[in-house]
Amino acid sequence: MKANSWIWILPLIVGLHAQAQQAKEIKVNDVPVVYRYVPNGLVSAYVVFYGGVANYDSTEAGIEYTAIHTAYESGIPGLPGDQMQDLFAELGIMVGPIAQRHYAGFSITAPAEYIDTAISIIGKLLTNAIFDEKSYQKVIQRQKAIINNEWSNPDDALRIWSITHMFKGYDYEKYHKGTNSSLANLTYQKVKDYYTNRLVDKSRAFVVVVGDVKENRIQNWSLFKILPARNMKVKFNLPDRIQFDTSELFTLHREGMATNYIRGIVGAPKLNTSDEVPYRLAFEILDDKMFVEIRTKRNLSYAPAAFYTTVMKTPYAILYVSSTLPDSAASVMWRTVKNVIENGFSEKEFRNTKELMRTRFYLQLEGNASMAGAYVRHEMIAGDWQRADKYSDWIKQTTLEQVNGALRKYARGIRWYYLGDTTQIKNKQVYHRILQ
Amino acid sequence: MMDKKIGVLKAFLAIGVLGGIVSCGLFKKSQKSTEPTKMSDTLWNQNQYYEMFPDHLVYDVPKLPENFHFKRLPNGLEVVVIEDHSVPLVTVEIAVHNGAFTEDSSLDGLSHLYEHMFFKANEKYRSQEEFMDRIKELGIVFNGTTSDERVNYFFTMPSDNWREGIEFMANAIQFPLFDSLEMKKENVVVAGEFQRLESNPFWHIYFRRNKYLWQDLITRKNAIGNYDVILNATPKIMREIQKRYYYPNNSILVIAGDVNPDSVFNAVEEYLGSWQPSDFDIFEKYPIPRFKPVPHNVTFIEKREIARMPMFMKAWQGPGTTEDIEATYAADVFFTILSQKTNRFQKNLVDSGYFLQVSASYLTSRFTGPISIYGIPNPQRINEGILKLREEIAQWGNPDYFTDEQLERAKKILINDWKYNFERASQLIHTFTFWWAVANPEYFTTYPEQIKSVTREDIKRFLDKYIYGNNWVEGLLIPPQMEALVDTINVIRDTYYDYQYRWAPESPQDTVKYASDIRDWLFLLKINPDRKLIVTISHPQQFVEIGNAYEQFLKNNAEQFGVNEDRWMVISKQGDRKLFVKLQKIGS
Repeated sequence: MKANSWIWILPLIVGLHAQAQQAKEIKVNDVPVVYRYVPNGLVSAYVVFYGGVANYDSTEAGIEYTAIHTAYESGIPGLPGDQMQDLFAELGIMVGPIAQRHYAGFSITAPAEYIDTAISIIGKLLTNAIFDEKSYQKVIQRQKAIINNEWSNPDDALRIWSITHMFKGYDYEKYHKGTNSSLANLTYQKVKDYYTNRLVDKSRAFVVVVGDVKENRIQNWSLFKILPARNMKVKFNLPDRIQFDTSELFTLHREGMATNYIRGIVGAPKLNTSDEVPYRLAFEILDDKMFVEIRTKRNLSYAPAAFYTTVMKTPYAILYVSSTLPDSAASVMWRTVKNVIENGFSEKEFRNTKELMRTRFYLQLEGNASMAGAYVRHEMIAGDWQRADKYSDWIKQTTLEQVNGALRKYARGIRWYYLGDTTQIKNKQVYHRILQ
Repeated sequence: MMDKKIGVLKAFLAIGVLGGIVSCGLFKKSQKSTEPTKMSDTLWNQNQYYEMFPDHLVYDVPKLPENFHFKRLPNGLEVVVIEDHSVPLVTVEIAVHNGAFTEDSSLDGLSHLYEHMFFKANEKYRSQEEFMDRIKELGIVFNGTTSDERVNYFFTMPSDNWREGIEFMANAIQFPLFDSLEMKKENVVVAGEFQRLESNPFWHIYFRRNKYLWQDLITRKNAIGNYDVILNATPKIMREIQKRYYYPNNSILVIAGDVNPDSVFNAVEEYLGSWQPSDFDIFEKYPIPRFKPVPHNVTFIEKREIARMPMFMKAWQGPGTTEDIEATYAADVFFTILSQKTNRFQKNLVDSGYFLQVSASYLTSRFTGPISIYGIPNPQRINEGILKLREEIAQWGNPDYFTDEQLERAKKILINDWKYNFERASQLIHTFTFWWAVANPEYFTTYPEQIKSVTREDIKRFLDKYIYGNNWVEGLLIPPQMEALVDTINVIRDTYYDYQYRWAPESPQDTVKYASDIRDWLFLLKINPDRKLIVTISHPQQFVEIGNAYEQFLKNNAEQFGVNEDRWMVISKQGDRKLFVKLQKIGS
């Protein structure tokens, strides 16, 4: 075993942001690689393939998740899954199989001296995994347990149900971890074929490397030479934009819960438009206002929130609350947004929220893995990894007028999703009021 | 390990200053020779209480990594600056020796409520609105947590606001107002947090497990607390908590990020130097009672409509750093061995299809940390899985249960995990104060070398003492529709079985009447040393002993409920299934 030479990484990271370089995109064997040098003794990387739920139909929902996890479970010739995972752990290499709505692949974080080893194994895993039936069976059983346990958790259940319902007939209706019925449709052979002939595709590959590794080492990674090119095209079938002009209530009755969970979906501008950043700022301020109005002033909930989701190609905004007084909580949320539409945010609210977002921006830069993850998300979802670095400047440049204008433009109707004891809904009118 | 001479020196110094107010943080060390009280000395001697600061956890200037800078203010506040210039942020965190471990039933959950009240009005910011305005002005991302053995508060902000951040923290920690109206509102908010937990099926099995594990002292391991206690809390009780625990000599302040240590120390002196220390020994005045061992093995089944999959938990009382610090390292190493995919534990339980996943762990604690197994049984093999798991546990102590390679790999994994703590200063700070709370700062610093020194003998001692020398608690969460898959009779054999029931017995005769229907009653089986079978019918509010009556029942039904050659007694039948109880002496 090679001795670790990164025990005291701290002297290296002192003064780090002065030494870290800007991210840039390079091409290695036609694969786009976003690279950022950070001299902190660690390297985080992502090797992902674009497409996610757009790559398969609803009867196969979950197949990418099953495939990538089966590959990881099974390992490679000469290094079966159990030995491979133990080796990773021993070397301090953290590998995560990923399969989300928009992409699938692996995330890797390793001490700088082991990143070459890690990438080499990942390359083999992508092109020559053992992919045996026993591993498949283990994964599919575990996957069923995961989706069923998610359904037991009210927050997960509400999120999955609302997205599935809202995007009925579109790609987001497919849940990337699958459903009990879609997983029942999968077979070992079908999943293996998917992995070996469809998923791994150089033409849809995207790689991010952030950390203490020089560019010439990356250029030499065999991964880029062995990925097959299948030239598969990806086209997401999604609505152009989420916009509700009326308000509606959808309920799912569930007994035995001590409180009720509510999501109110509000329309939003498309990504990469001039309204995106102002609208995001608007909901950042609203999030804070919900905390004050719902929790501080009225104590209607422990956990109110408002946010503009940034992880969907067709984005929307969410008003969220859990409460034993659902009508009152929803009513206050509605009133709070309406008041802002009518009166606008104050200069102070606007200025403070910008300061808060500065903190959040730097928190994202604090770790290699979170930085790398941000590049991947922005590229896969919005088609531009550089957004991750630009966002802070965009926020700085945004004006209060733009923020107020964006909210007035897009916040109209609310689609409420309610999970809990529906007998506690006493006044349905609350859920049918529009914002403007 | 800590040089014991330092502990002795500190004890001497503490005695010397107790007549006055000023201390050097030395009140933390429970000095038996100081006031108060004789009563607590007696109790110490009777071993009913834990010692908060045994010599091996006492330090003067702790050994810390080289970019950690330490200072103890004259009022006893320990201050650590972690210098890390990787991003222009600073995190200011204060942690207090408070939490569930300080709570009897009258305070159950109030450390947590106090934590919420921290983020409200104080003498400088007279309302929560003002407080929140300041948070926003400084660009602070904030939170607080309450756990069994720590309450911590933290603010992360751009590093150019570091001085204002420390001042803000200083005001919040020293001068909370506990406004009665704000408090009344916050009670409801905490209750809301409680309701969210209750809405999750896993909470119920976890809480029930803890009730058996910690028994009458469950409040000492239940940070979320009791609903009624929280709803009825008053400003007076908040001030009582403040008077007991919120002192500089019971706290640590850590500032991590893009800062200059000297400037930070000066600012801390300025804003927190006048914070008054306690003039009494906190944990001698409010000692921490010792947990009683689990009296017998317990199995229970929790049915929940909203559960979709079974979940299994098993737990033992484990070591604490105050009394058996070596065992805490051995526990970490052993359970990391079990996490390895090539280890027998994973092979025999997961690869063989009994469980979809299973993990075992120990939570390092100052006082008796829990050892836990969590597993998702294969729904088709629940019964076999639980029995197989017990078989595996019985094998843990065998020398060939793990290889030398697995032992060494486990150490490397733990040390690697430890190193990753350093990547993000805003996260490292939480980890550091956790170790301060459950042990001391040196536990964190010396962790790699301590882990490297763990031997097979250390692991054997840990297993003999805490696994084989202790009783356990087992719980199974199942959705009602899966109940038929559970062969209760087989699963509960050899354990005390606690089953949720729909019928409360009114008399022993009733019990007999229902004894043949295992699914409709709750009972505890106990076989005492003279081989008498005692059956306890349990009731939510009380326990009804019916030992003799049940034996009479058995006698009267000898033909049906006989003892077989293996000394397994059939005590109940359900269709063609039988409940066997093994006649054996307990504890021999």
